[in-house]
Amino acid sequence: MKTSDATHDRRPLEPPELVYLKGETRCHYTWSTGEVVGSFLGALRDHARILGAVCSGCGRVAVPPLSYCEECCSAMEDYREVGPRGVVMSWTRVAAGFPDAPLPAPFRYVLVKLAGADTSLLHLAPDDERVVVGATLHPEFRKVRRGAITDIKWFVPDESAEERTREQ
Amino acid sequence: MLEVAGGSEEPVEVVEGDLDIEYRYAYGEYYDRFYREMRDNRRIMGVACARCRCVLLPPRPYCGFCYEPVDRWVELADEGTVQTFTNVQLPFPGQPTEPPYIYAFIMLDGAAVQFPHLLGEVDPARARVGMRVKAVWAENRKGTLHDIKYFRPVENEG
Amino acid sequence: MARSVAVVGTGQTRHVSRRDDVNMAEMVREAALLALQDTGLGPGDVDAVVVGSAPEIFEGVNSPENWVGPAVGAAGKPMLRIHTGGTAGASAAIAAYYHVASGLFDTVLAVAYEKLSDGSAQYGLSTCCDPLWDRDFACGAPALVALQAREYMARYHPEITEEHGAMVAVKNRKNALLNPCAQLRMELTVQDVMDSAPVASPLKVLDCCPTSDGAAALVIASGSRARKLAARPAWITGVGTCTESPYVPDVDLAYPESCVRAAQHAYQMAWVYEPLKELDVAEVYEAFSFQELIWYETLGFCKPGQGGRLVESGITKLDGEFPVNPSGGVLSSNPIGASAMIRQLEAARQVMGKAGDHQVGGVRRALAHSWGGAIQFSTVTIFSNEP
Repeated sequence: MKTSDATHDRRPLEPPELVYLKGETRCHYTWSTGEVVGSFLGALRDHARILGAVCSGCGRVAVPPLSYCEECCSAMEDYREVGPRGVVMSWTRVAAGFPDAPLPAPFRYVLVKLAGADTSLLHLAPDDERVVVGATLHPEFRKVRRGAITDIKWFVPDESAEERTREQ
Repeated sequence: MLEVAGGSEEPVEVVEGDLDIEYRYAYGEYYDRFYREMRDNRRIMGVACARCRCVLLPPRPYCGFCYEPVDRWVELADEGTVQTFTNVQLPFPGQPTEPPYIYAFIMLDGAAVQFPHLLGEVDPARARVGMRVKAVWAENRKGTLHDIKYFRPVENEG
Repeated sequence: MARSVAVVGTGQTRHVSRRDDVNMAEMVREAALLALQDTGLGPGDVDAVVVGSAPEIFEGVNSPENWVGPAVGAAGKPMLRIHTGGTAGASAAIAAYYHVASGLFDTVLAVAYEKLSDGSAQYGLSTCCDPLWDRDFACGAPALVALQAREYMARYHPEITEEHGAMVAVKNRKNALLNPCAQLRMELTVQDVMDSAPVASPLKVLDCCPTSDGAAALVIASGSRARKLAARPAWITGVGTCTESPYVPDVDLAYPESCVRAAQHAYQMAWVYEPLKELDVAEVYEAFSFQELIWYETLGFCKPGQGGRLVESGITKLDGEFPVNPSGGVLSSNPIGASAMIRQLEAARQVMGKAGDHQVGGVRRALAHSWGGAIQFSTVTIFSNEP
């Protein structure tokens, strides 16, 4: 809805022109997850485990799981745990921050194919030069999890995860 | 509930989120003139179709009835007749005016198209179609339809 | 000349105030699979998919076809999304009809849906108004239709009363008792409606539709395919759509021209000259009770100003000569983006003999109507038992 008056053009016109009306929409949503996505998020939150779904038609394993196969439209009826390790299929480095960015820049977006999955999961990784195509990554789960894909903070190179474990 | 190794006993049923977006709406030539006249001169200006001569609101470059270009600005009275109205009592989030209020379409004298606005200083039980009303202008005008506070019944009405 | 085209399969979810067991795409898939099962086809047998949906702001999912399309088998096929306000569902089916009538496709799936409980319907509707004009007073759909009802009552005063609106609400909610998919299924009296809480005068709560989660789907096929796929296809013999100005005050709310023209076009195409005699049943988009009376007039079931008399006569009751909204109509369920397709689905089922407990006897021709936008879009579809 309209929240403020019109802004004025800088030119000295008499009377001043109306150029823009500022407005905004503010909406709150409560999206139903459905049984399958709901279980995926519940497993992340309660057990720090990642679930995939097996297509009854083409056998494809999708992560995150869906109740249906996006490729052949068959029902996904079998669910299994996948990962936690995965291989980087593609990545990009985000050098500059932007509004609502998931992490402070720099960071990397990665497509990770988790062990046992046929699809790649879009997620985040540190800006580490080892995060390249073919690298094996490991999820770093948050301590306080709320049932969202961001319960995985990011995927880190395998060695660094091990190093961190060793240090602790 | 799915039964799967590693599955949770309590699925996450709902994900909540917000979508807040800010906009800048360009007035354009016609709304610019219309709202400047409201703000600076307390005048309601319509445009007249070059063909059917209908005086239209909101001002626009073409006629909504016959699609011919408009060719002149016409000052309309700030007085008119209520064509239809409703006493709105249902609140909803983000509603610009807090209920209860009376929303009406008013045919300004000289116009071919109704003007949407609020009625004020009127008992909802006495509001009626055909009632004569006049604009009550806001003191602090900014170039929106709220430059008119509302329309009130003219003498001997309401 | 267009090819003959028929609805061969129909599917809809139950319509309820909130579905939490499925997400939006899964809900649409549920309706799509029911429609495909109805024909004995699988998703792979469909040549193209048309997705109809209402404004994205309702669910807060932009480009919802990205998500909904693959859920109903659109991957690897041509897909379009159609949006025309409240008529979106009907427009999607009409677009599917165009696909097949053109000769370019043989079997097309049309789906439409709304998961209104995920967001806020009235706020979403207010953002449909011109931000530089009437958005300042955006007061939701009930208030807009209240203005329509008031103008209609004033024009024909004292022929049309608030009780006439109430009679529609009583009739349709009673019909809904026979429809297992309907959300509001109630035995009411005119007095119950008159005594219900005011929303936007002259509308009371029971004059208004609910907000629903629900989806619908139609399988639409060419003549030769249709005969193989369905024992009694519902042939689409008339289609009319029309648009008016987005500025509500330009529209004659009490007699919207877009509806009159859409009906004229559909009637010409289907060779209908006297609708009340030649049609057997109608499903009209009465999101608010008074609208059914207005549509009686714009659709030519009676003369302007006689909508009240028509409902009073009982002709449009389920056991009357010309039942209107045997399913319970939009007053009983309103998943907005799907509601216009549900009218078509119910009309088609009447012709196919598959309407269940609210089946009307001996239906040869059925009409489906919808309105959308700021009462500026109208569609009329005629279904017949022969091409």
